[in-house]
This record gives sequence, structure tokens and C-alpha cells, in this order.
Amino acid sequence: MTRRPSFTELVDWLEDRLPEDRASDVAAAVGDAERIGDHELLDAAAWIRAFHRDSGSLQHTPVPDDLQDRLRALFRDRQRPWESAGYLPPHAVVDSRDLPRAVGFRGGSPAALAEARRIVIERDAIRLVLEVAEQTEDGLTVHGTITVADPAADPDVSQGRPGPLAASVALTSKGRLLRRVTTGPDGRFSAVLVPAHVDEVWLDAGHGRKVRAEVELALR
Amino acid sequence: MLRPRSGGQQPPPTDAALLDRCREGDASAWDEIVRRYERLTFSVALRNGLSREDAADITQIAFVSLYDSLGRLREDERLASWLMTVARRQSWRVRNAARRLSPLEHAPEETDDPLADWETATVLHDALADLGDPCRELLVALYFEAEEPSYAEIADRMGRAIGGIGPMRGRCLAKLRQIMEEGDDR
Repeated sequence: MTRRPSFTELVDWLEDRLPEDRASDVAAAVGDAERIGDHELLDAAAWIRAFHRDSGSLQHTPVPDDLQDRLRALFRDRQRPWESAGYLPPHAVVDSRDLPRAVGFRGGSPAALAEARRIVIERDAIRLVLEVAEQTEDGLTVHGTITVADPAADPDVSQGRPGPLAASVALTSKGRLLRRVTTGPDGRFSAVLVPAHVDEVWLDAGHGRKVRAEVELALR
Repeated sequence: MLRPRSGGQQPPPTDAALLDRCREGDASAWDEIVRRYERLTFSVALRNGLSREDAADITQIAFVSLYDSLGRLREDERLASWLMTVARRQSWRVRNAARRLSPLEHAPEETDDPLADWETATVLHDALADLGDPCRELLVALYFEAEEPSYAEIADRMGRAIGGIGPMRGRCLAKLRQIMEEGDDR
């Protein structure tokens, strides 16, 4: 009869971490357990195997770089009234509902125009284009693009850095933050399941360029 | 990322204690919850066939839901499975929306449930939460982190001797098994 392995030795054995001689002993002990019906030992080995299988089925993937910051900021943003200082109203807000051709919607039927929406918000050199692609009972799908209308006037672009494109866009309702997104290096962002009752869009493009637009995003 | 820890500190707070502190407005408690569960929540969304961008959105939605539910969350010790379930449900919604919008060849792959045994996955993660740190941190690092850190890296992060990692892993797994079996008996 071989010495009964401890739980830790069983783990080591199943993970190939034992020296050869001790691994043989544990294998022999497990064989003995099968012969004599030592369920305690067999159950322990079965549990470890199941744990290995189950842990392998949901590996924890690292999150994108900025996500942790956004998740942390979410709590602080919601703990205090939305900080509106420094945000300025836009010079222009053009909505496809009112002026479809002015925002590039051409030739669409009224029904097609009702299924999507494009809103252009501009102030100085900054232009934010919001596309509301879909509205379901779960919320809106929103795509956005931030561009610099006049790159020559933009301090980042003129210094060869990615433009105002690492911008932050917050979507709020009645002053309460619902979603914050950060643009990628191409100035684009997408957000799904955005609550349909968003009533303000807040854009912070750095260098004090902050724009706040009262815009309802819902399609209907 | 786990933080190096020096000895002699108080045991890390449970999820329930962290949630209580969040209710009192303690942002550092919220940060710790984010640290513990951001990867798990994000990974559930990824495993449901979403892109990294959509999975990040789902993770944000799950944490917004958590914030909004702080006052009415009943089973504080079940935070892991609560976040997993929110992420899974919202992922389904995004997948369903994508199928409606996309040509078939671009739609996310249709799978009934990519996690073969959802109940086991949630029970396991709740048991890890019950286990508490440092055991939870160790087992997550050893068995769940996609980067598969070495014993040396884990020992360094946790401020422990590398020779102690193996025996500690055995003890932590034995405790985890006990918690899961006690849960089965309830």
C-alpha cells in the first residue's frame, strides 16, 4: 500500500509539478484508491480536475487601457453634481430631422430618415457628428466622430500629436451621467444600449475646448 | 493588476464590506470592486461573442447598473455572479441587435451559450469571493488570468516567497472546495 497523498500533492500531481518518483507514488496511490473504492481520495482528484476544466472555460482577459479609468470615474462622477464649469454652448447644432441634406442625408424616404439620425455639433474648430443608428427597447446605438475643422489652428495637430481626438464625450439626462466614452485615435467612438432619455451631450476635447449641447438623441 | 502587499496588514475587505463603504460614498472601495471584477465582467461579454469595444461598453453598463443598485442589492456576497449575469444579459441584447443590423456574414457568431455550464461558472466565482483574499487573488492569478503569470511573478506581486506559492495554492484550493461543497449542501 502506498502512502496516501495530501490534497496539495494531488494538485501537484495533476499539474505535473511533482518529481518523477513522487509522481509515481501518487499515481500508484490513486490506482489503489480505485481498486479499494477510496472515494475520499477519488473525489478530491475529481474535484481538482473539474476545477481545472471550469477555470479554463472563463479566462479573465485584461481590459482596454482606458476602461478601468472610466469605471473608476463613474463612481466619482455620480457622487457629485455634474461639473458643468467651462462648458460652452455650441455655435451650431444641425439635426437630420430638421435639415437632412445639410448633414449629408440625401434622397432618403421619410420612413428611412426616421430610422436613423445624424446630429452635427460645432463650436470653433471642433465638430462632433453623432449618428443614432438604432433604437430598441434596450436603448440606442450611437456612433460618433470628432474632427478638427481647422487643423492648422489646433495646438495638438500643429505639434504633430494626435489631434483633439483623445476626447471624452459624456451623455447625461437631467444632469445625471448615463455614459462616458473616450474616442479612439481616429476620433471615433461607438456606444450601445445608451438610454434613450439622454438630453445633453458634453464634449471635452482638451485644451479647455468644452462644448455642451442640449440634444435629445431618441429616434422616437 | 494585483498590488504587492507587505505583511502585517489587516485582511482585505470582503465584497459586502466594500459595498457598504460605497454606500457611504467611499470612492476607494469602489476602485477595489472595479479592480476585482472588471476583468471578469469584460471576459463574460467577450465570451458571449462581442468585440472588445462592445465588451468594454457592456462592462461600463454593468458597473453603472451596480452603482444604481447599491441601495437595493440584497445578496452582497454574490457580487461576482450579479455582475456576470448583468454582463451576460446585456451581451445577449447587443448580439441580438447586431444580428438585426448586420449582414449574416458579419453578425456575431450564434451560440446558445458559450459558457457551457453557466451555473458552475457563477458558483465558482461566488465561492472565490467567499474565499476572500489573499487566496482569491492567488487562485485567480494562477488559474484565471489569460496571461498565465509565472509563480515568480505572482510571488512578487503578492509580496510572498516563491517557495510558499505552491503550498498556499493547495491550501486555498482545499478551502475553495470546502466552500463549494458547503454551498451544495445548503
